[in-house]
Amino acid sequence: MKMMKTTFKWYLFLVIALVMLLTPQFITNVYYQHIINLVGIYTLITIGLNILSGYTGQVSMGHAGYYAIGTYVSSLLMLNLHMPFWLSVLIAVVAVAICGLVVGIPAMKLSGPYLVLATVGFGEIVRLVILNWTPVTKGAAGLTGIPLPRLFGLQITGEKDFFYLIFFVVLIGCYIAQRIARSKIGRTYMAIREDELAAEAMGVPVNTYKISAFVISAIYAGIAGCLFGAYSGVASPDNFTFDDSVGFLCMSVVGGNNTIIGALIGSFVLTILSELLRVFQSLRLILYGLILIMTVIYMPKGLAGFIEPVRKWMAIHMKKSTLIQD
Amino acid sequence: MTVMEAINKVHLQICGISKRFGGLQALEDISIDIQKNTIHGIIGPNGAGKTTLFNIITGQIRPDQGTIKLDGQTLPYLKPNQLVPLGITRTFQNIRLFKEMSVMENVLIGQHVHTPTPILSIILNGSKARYWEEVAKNEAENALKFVGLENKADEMVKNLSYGQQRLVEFARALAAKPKIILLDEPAAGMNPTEKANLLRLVLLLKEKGYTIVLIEHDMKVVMNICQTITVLDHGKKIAEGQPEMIRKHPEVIKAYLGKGV
Repeated sequence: MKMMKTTFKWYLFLVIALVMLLTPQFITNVYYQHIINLVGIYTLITIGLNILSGYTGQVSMGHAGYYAIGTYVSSLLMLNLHMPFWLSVLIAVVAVAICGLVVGIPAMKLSGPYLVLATVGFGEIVRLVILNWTPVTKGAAGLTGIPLPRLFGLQITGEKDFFYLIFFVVLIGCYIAQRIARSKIGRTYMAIREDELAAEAMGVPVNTYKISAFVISAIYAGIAGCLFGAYSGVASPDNFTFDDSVGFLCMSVVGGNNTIIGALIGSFVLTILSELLRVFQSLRLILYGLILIMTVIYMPKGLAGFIEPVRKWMAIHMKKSTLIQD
Repeated sequence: MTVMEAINKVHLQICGISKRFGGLQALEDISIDIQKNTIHGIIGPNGAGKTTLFNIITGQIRPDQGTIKLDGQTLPYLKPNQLVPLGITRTFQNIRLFKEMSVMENVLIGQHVHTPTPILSIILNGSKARYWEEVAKNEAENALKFVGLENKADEMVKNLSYGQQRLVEFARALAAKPKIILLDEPAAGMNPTEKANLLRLVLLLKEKGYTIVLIEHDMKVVMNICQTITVLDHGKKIAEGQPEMIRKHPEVIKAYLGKGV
């Protein structure tokens, strides 16, 4: 039975992977491809947020800050020092991890609304530094002409190529996050979320784990930033505002922040929604708020919360059909 | 028995602990010797400072004065998570479980300090990570079997009854492989059957060589199973000794029933 279940899972995985790989062949409209790529980038940030807020219970409203640092560090290295893409990403990851550490250390002492405020502050600091450090970041004008990445001798150009690059990164990101979430580390994160004091009394070094969650989620946002910079070719402080941080948090909550797949669902739904609502520019945030409130009240587990009942229903159904076969 | 032997048997020694919360002297110069492999009861009226004492022993609160010695060695001020590897674990008065997690996951957290966390192996789903996960699972299963909840392993903790939740907390403390277990009112809110079951478990643990420190309000429980009882009142130790002695101690009667006319 267990064998059957795992093979079934593998088939499912293969089918989904195949569909995803063929997506750019079906969807030839460049605008749609662009949106799918954005979904991929946002998924990465949301995965990080889910590990931080969903698993560890530390809410961050400053993830646009990490996202920005990822974008600017990698883009500036490519622009000014002509570094290859992979090296710039590597350095950006280190930079972002250090920033995660810097925010994570005071966060040990803060909780609830105070932590949220501290992270908001961090996001704003990053944005203001970018805005005002004109000699390096070009200020409000932003960076232009960020070179297209070259990986393993492959020049990546156009939406389709980026789709494969982003898809690959998201796949690895999901896999690593899932491994962490299902392991002892994820379990410990959850224990910290549920009851910090009890976790500490059972031998969990709570502070170390909290900081590690901050660093991991910062790295995810940073990598997303690197991809965004290379993909869009331009970056300005307007891409990394408080609204964006709130948007990421919305994706995390709407999709379901205590699963990894929830990140994918949330960023998919909200990115497409926000594109559809582009016409009502100013109404958009009101709608976002409304969706967030509705989600928190009526489906605290987010959209991913619907997966479990469906799976159970399917399990019962499958059992029945095998019984009939017997 | 010589004096030296008696000292050697002291497992946990609380020396002159004082703690003040603002204007309230929660504990005043408390010294207690807890003998190895005994059940040591700590009783006292509400507000006597019993839980504060537990919080100090387990490192949640730093005392104003005094030290704690484990096997004759003075412990520096340590955080709760650093005391677990030394063999001190506790349960809480008001159950503190991880409510949105399964029973098994709760007990596995108790195993935290006894299994390594091979990060690379976890990410690659390597054999090392799986091996240690298996080891932790076995230990947790043993702890659950001990309290008789092995068939509830996959249940969400919040769906269990109050008495069962207490047992899960007990199992979680056991999974941390302690030498000394501090139980803070473990039988509170339990029905007589559950209480009897718990007492059986506590006695079984004592036979297995654990040292147990117990806060309890139920006198029947305390008098029946404890070898030594310490009575606290208003932060002071007013009596210590065997149950028979405590039962007749005038100070204890006064603390519980008030002054005679």
